[in-house]
Amino acid sequence: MLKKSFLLVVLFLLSAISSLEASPEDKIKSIYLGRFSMFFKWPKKNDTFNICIYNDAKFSKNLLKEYKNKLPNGTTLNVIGIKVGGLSKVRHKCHIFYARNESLRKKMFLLDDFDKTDVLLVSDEHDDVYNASTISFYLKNNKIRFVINHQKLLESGLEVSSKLLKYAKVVNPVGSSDAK
Amino acid sequence: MLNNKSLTSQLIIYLMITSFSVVFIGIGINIWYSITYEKETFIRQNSLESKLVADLVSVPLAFYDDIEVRNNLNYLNNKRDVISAAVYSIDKKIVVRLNENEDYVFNDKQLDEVVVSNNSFLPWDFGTLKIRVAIKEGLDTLGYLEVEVGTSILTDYFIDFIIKSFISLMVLMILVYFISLSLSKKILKPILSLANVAKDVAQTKDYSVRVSHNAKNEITTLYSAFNILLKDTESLTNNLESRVESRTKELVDSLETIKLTQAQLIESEKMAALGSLVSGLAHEVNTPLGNALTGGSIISHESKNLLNQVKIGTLKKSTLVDGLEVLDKSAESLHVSLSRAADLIRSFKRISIDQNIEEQQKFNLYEYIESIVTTFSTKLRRKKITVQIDGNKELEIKSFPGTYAQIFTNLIQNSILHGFSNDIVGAKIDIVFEVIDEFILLTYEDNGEGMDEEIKDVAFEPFTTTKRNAGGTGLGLNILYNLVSQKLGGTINFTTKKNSGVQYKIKLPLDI
Repeated sequence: MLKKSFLLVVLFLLSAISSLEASPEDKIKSIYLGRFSMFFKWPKKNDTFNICIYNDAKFSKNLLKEYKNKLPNGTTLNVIGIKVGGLSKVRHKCHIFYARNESLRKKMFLLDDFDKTDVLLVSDEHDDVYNASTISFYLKNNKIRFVINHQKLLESGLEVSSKLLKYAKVVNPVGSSDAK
Repeated sequence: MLNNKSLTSQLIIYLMITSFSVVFIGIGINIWYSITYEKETFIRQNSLESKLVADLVSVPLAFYDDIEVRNNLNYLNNKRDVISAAVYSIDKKIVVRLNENEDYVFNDKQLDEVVVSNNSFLPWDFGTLKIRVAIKEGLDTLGYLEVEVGTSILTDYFIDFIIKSFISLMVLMILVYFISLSLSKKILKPILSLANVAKDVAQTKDYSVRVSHNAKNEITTLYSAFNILLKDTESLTNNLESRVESRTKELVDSLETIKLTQAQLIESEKMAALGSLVSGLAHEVNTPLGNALTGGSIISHESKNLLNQVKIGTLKKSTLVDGLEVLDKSAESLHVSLSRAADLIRSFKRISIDQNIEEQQKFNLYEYIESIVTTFSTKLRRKKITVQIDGNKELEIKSFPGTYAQIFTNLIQNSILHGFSNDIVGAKIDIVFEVIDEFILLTYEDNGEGMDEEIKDVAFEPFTTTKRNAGGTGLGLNILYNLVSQKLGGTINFTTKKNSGVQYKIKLPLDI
């Protein structure tokens, strides 16, 4: 009986520790978010680069841990964790808004605060890119890829590197940019 | 070396050497310039391509897409000269590499963007080109691209260029050869033609030939000069024989005149010596003859006196004895004087005969020299010159006494006439002879005035005299030299110093 109890405690502790570690997929996504800062230009000028994570405190912590408060270009990284319902207070600070565990197109009310503002909207749902997010992650051949809505990107007032457009999958291309 | 070649060969060789040098230097400069340009272009092109690839791999590298990085890097793999290529992350860890066999290590020391490393000494081996490019996105460095490129394309270009240049050089040299040949024929033709004519003239001695040249240039001047030379030579040749004959006759006549004059002068010298001898003889004989005459007069007077006294009968015994004593003394004096005169005459006779009749004789050298000196005793006495003869008094030699007489006569006459022309206190002549091996070494020395420097060097040459106005012929020492060297087969030399006399050293064979 005692032995059984001990095993249960150990299993619980192990699961608790593993739940603190980010999954490989999330780790890659957190790196990608930091890298997006290199390929986009935001109109607003801030001393810090703010990435807002909606509805995933664990991801926020891991993102901060990944970059140790500094982006590769030396800019201070500020990760803002947003709980459900707390968006309006910090929305003007976000450079990137990444909605976790939610489909943006299903919660369009979230986007009311971001319409035509200089925020890069990132989603985990591929189809969000057509009418909700600016960039969406998706899996292809067990690799994480991202798709960019070029038209929406321009409407949000952000500039993007042409090399990134060539590399990524693009929907609603503008000008000579081709979808990949 | 080229001097022995024909003018045509020399011209061709010089033109070819000059052309080769110019073309060789030109090709060398062209090769250097082209290779440098190609090398720079090669480096620039590879640098640009590396930067392009670095740009292409920047986004995949940023998003850790190794497959896309490799796809972009494969662009380099398709290039011929790329030996290796590798992409490093910002923390210098290898991300993707081409050529899996290579062990890539990021070399921190090699920070230059482009490095050409070459350890070969071969001029056509350009080594390898190493390019490092930072992979950047804006100002952010994402990693590094390193590319190593072989330079075989440059080597091929270099070798190809050299071969083509060499072929061009050869073609050009062949062209230059034919142009040189053509030019040399055109330019040298009149000179070679002139050379042939000159050669023919030298062989045939036909100086009537003339050459002509149509153009008006330096060759025409040369031809004109040659024609003038031929004309002059022809003229000279035609008159040469008669001129040679005339000149030969003149020379023969002159030689005869000189010989005659020389003979006359020698004869005059002999006659002068003989005259001197006769003069000496007369002077020397005069004294004993005077004594003899006095003695004869006394004898005659005393005899007549005694005869008168006998006739008249007054002759006393004491008177007879006194008279006979006077007669005896006078007769003795007469005998002595006549004997002295006879001796003198014999001596003069011997020397004078010896000077004219040259036959080998055996004679006592000391006595003979003494006899010669005796013939000058009056003159020597007048000048207060003492003569000292030193040598073996028993020495007899077989030679030409007349020649010896003439030698010493000339020497003593020179001393009296030149050495002691002014009276000198303590004037003396030393004659020393000694036998050394098969030779007699005669030393004749006076302490007279000596010779001037300008006379010293030409003393044995004919007609050298300082007393021409006083009757000197200037032949004395010349005759002396000829007698010693030619007649007796000996040698003569002398030393002299102004106001310190003259010393002659005569080396003669003991027997001839």
